[in-house]
Amino acid sequence: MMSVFKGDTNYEKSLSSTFDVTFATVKRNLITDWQYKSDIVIQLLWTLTNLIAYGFLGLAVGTSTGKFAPPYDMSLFLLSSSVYWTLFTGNYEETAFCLREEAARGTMGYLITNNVDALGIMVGRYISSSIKFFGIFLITTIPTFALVKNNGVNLLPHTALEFFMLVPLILLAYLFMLAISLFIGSITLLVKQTTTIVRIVLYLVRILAGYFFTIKFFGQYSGVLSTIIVCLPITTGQYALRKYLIEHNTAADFFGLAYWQVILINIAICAVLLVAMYFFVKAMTKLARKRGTIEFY
Amino acid sequence: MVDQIIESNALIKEFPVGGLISRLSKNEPTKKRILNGITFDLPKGLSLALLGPNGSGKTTLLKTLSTIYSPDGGEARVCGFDIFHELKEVRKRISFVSPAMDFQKKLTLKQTLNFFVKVTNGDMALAKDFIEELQLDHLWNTKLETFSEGQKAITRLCVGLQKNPEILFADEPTNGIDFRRKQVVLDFLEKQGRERTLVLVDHDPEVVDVLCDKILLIALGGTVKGMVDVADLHSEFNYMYDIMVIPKGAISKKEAKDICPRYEMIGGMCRFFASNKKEANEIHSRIIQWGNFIDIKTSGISIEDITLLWLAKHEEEMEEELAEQRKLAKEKKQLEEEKKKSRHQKRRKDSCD
Repeated sequence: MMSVFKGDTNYEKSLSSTFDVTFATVKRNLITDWQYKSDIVIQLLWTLTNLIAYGFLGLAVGTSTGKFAPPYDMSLFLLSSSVYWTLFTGNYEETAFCLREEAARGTMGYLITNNVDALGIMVGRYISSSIKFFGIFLITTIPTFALVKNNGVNLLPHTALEFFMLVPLILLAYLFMLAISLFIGSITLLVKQTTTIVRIVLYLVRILAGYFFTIKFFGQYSGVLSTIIVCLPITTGQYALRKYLIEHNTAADFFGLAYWQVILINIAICAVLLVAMYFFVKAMTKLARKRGTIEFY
Repeated sequence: MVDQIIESNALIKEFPVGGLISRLSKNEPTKKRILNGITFDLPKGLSLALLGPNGSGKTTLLKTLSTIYSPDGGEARVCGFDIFHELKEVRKRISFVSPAMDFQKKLTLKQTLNFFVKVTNGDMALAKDFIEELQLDHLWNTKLETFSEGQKAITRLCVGLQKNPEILFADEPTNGIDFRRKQVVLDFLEKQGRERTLVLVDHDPEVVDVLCDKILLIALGGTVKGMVDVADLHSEFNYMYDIMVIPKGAISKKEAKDICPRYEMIGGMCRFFASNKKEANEIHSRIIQWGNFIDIKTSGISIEDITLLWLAKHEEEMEEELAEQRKLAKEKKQLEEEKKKSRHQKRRKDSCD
């Protein structure tokens, strides 16, 4: 196959190989996912159920008056959480289990003996799942945005500038969740019963992202804790999306940091995490080959 | 130029026993040795069958040589490259096919092969040729969910061969294929075996006969029992059936010889060998005539049985050959170490100058 990276050095060849594997995996997964239309419908229903459940939970709570409460109705707060996590939950879970599925199908051994690394398989799964769940996001959120009107606040998109300021933050959140997915996914090379671990990590990340309560809450333990947490790309995205949807102000103050400062920190965190995960996946693959768990499921 | 396509010297593979918590809490050995010093060489151009009882480590050896598992000791070179340190080079030249290999059921044969061709940098034209030769081309646009086990086995072979490997490692490659198509697959693999080395784990005597030049017999405990030429085996032991007799009392050597000159005593029992069905029936009739038996049982003889018979007969020379191989490997290692040492000394001397 012709490759865009056809080069002379081993590094370029390795990059080319990873690119080819990722591309082929994305294509295979998209074709396969499309064949399971009933599964897509079930995912859609699950997303809608979440939106409805959290929307009603928010309505039941109403306007919270606590010290750390958001300055608007809890239904808007929780609904924006659900909308945001429609983008990240499914792709995280599918990536976390993709190596296990490959092993169950018996193709892991074949792929390993063909220099196809676990990294290419997982990144390929993450990209294809992200595309799938972005589709589900579009289908479920647009009616939600149009329908929800609460105390004069609606979730309909606002100015183009605000929107374009939000996009890089969401993309960085995708990269952050890719790193988390690679971490959990590569653990399945050694430990096979990971369903609960996947859930634990998802809930921890959601708590840090401010899914269930405002990150102002963390400030009570230390003044800078909220500032540190808001710099995590997944939290920045959630925080900015709320500002965009509810307060119509993406470039809001990020607990003392400016928009561009947060973006730079986000980029640095993603870069460090992704490089670390690259080596972590390699190390876990090596260990799994030694322990003989690489194709167990 | 590599003379040996596979060289294995004292290869060891161990697996951890139990989970992490049980290993920490129990004072028991934490590792189980599956391969215990596997030593053999396979010359270029020949194909090999790995035989042995269940649990002897045949599949583990296959997976270790094909770089799925990393070895824990010894040395091994595949296609001239070290399986410890030159993984990428080894993997470029080999392919591994297992009966456990399944596919995305919702993809068509074409889409499935497309995926594997892309990720392995293989050749789609070659994959197409294989599919046509194995008479599966009418299923080109059919989803794999409708494939029979035999059709899946053929797809596996095509996936394994489309990258044109120097060695195809295959675990029971004809498993699940119906009688009619098995011959087509065997003919096809025989032709493939002329262009590349096949290393197979298979208990089917027909598969081993047709496809392999040598048999490596592995004993329980993961050691090499011996290596045999399939041609030698046939010239000495052309057996298809064995007839096991449990006599009422003892059976004398003369009595046994009168029934059939090809026999062996196992404890109080006697086992006769027949080359074909007709001969088996004749032996059976003679035993009935003799009449002094409790039970009599006729069964097809496995290739492992024949190999064991061959080994029993040639045990002494095999031991000598193995000892010679070990000695040569030791000398080779010593020579390499000396060379390394002298190079190191020369470098030190040069740097001092």
